[in-house]
Amino acid sequence: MTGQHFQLPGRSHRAALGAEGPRAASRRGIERASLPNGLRVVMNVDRSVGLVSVAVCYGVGSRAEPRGRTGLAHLFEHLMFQGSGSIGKMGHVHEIEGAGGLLNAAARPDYTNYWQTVPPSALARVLFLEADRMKGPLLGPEPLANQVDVVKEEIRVNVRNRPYGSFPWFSVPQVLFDTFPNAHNTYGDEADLDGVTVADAQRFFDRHYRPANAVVTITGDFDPGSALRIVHRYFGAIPGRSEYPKPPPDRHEPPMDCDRQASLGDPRAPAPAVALAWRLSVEPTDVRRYLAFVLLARILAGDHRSRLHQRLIDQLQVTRVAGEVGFDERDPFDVLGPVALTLHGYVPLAGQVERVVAAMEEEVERLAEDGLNQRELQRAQASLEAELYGRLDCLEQRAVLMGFYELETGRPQWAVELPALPALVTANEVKDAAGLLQRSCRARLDLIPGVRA
Amino acid sequence: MNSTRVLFPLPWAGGQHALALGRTLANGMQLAAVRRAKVPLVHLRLRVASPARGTEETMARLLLARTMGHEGVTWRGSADLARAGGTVHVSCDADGYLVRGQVLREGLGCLLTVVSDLVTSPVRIEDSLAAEARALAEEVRRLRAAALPTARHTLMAHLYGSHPYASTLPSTEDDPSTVTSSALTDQHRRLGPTGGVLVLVGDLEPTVALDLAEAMLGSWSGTCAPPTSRPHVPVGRGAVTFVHRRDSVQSCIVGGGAAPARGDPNYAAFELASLVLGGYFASRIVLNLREEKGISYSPSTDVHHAVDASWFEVVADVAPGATVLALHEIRAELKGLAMRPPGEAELRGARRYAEGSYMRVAATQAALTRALEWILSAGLDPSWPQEHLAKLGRVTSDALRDQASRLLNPDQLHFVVVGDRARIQTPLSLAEGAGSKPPLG
Repeated sequence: MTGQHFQLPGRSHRAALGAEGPRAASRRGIERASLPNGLRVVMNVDRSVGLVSVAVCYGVGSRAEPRGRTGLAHLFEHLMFQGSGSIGKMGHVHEIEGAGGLLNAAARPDYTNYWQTVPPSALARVLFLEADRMKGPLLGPEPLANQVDVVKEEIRVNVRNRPYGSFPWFSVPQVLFDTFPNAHNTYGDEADLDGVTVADAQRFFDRHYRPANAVVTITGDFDPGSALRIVHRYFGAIPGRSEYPKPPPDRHEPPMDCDRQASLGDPRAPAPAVALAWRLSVEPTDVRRYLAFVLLARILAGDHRSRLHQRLIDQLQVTRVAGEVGFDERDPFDVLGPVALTLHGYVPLAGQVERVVAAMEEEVERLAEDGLNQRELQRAQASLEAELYGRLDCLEQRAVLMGFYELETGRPQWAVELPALPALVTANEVKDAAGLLQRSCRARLDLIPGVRA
Repeated sequence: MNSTRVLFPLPWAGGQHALALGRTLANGMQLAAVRRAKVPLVHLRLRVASPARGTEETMARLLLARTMGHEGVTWRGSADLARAGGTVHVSCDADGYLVRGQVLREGLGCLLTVVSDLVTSPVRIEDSLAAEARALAEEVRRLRAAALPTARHTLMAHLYGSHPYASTLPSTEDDPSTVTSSALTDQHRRLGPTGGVLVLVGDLEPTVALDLAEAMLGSWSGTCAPPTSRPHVPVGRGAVTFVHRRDSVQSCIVGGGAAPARGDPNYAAFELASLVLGGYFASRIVLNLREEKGISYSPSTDVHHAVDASWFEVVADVAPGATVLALHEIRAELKGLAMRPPGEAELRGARRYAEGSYMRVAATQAALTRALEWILSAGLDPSWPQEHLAKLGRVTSDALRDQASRLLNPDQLHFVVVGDRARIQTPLSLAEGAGSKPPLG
């Protein structure tokens, strides 16, 4: 049953959204605090599960990487497990797992998260360990060389050694965007990874890993008063380095004035695949407007009842169709702009690729001109709502998303309000979103099977 | 019939917050419903026991699962389900079929209607069969082109011989479009309530949910005989089967052998042995292959359970040039577990990690649904995790070493390597103790 501090905007409370005073966060059972060194703290008690999650989110991701050092944000995330002032290599992992906990981390385009879910008795130790590595990880040539190798194996197992590995998102940034911050994916180039030095890593840490660029989020079964005291004790002494905030990476993209096309070889794919990608002009943190595009992607190609599923699978023998929004195939919400909307499909009959592309464009056009019916809007809204509630059920996912929204908007309650918002999007807003796509240039990506990348 | 049992408290499932009820229907199905109302969703898992009669049925079973999945989103009732944000997915293995669903709370009735219709009404295949067969053929080609599914299939074929567990993937030469509609109808007819398990978890009233489920599934009577057990204990001899995969930029190593079932008195010790080896981030194989040598991203060990057998598996995707080294190190770690069993600190760490993972199976609606489904499907009592946690606490280093020397000796496992012969360079036969078989192709 719902913990007393945790409230969701129930389906009947939708009308109240948008009319919020300054205490909106605490009404959602969320407490915010900040330390003199600039560190922000978000707390959300939920006693329904006897566990506690801690997420530390730093406001730096792949878009802030220096030129020639693509992949550094992700590599650096690995280096944060190589030991820090009080503990040796993998010491953090040993302690969390030895306390019965689970942990992981992810470098994203605009921020990097580190999370752990542990029994409540381990909360203080988790906060100590996170503070210890916020002061500075142990950086040296050996752990660096080791983790460069590990990251290369990660890219191989997740992308390069798989049929259709991460298609099309692995290549969308490089094809669709022109400026350095946006035009590379979070994994980066292997050659760039090989070039990373200890000095690069140290500089990256000094620039970005500081209390004023970080949020500590705690969710689950804990006492906020004593947790905040522990946060003060361990994080309070970390120097604030007052030159923060630094200017964020310039995410601006010059307009795209014509369609573009790129081909990628895939030696393992048994058949061709094709994707169309459009730049979206809306910021994902402009949640209401952004949701129109998330719903548009679903109405076009989200499930078996979507327009392209019916048309491509039934008529053109396409075997997989998807419509997605974001910067990669992962979470569409924990990013800033620019992001993309993609439609893609596996096309077993090579001769059908052009017809598949034409069908995708026609369906965008049809939506832009004729709009959509209420039933297909309702389906997309409800399935998105269910998905968003599903992730809120998970303590660590909730902690990470609250941390992201605190970092980028100062409004962590977006994370718990999100599931109720798709229902507010109107058919006209989705139609207008399709109109924007229709009037924009797009990129086309062709995956050519049997050819080396 | 009304034999509702209170499964509550599930102490391992945050007991004070979860009201769990169970009921066994006259047709043999077990139902369980748990109220966990943190978010307004309901999760469903329905396990239908329908053992494969042989390895040649794999394609027809996969096609039936796909067809049912398709029908779950196109039949009558599914429009209402979709409007409540509902999804239905059907998969299969050699023991039977698994239906998974999720819906916003107001759609519980729709979800149960669609799911019970899927398993109790004859499959309606005419319109979608050709499209599903094409999609399945493509999926098989894609899985056959991927390293891990190929390696796993090769391992299972070696360990399980003529037992249906040997076939995890049909061959690319098998054409799903040759599966006749009568073969599908026959497969569907072999679905029945005996040994079936339905679990519902979420924002629901357990009694109401159980009554609804009983109303829809209580009159289901299968026509096929109840499943019979065909136990099989795999034996390996330490050999390596090599499968050539052109342009493979990694070698996928999979090793496996027999493991105790969950109900076996030695299971707790074996589970900890597997964990110490490769079951978590700070485990021996991960520290060795990843953190020391940098040749693999996420090597791991796991114990898999099915009706007729349980098996151990070690997996590592490694840099091609390090294939022989990795195989050598994996074998050394397996052997080393008996020679260097964990001391008090390492054993305590593994035990605490295991305890934590059993607490996390109840941390979300989705995880609790999954856990209750496998507990009930395995014929275990809902209190099994609690009893198992107590057993984990009593495992000694000696008991762990005993399991390691009996079941994790690499000379009693079988290994498979899927990789590019040209990139591996060193012949696998040079790997210590590996009686390599000639390459398969």
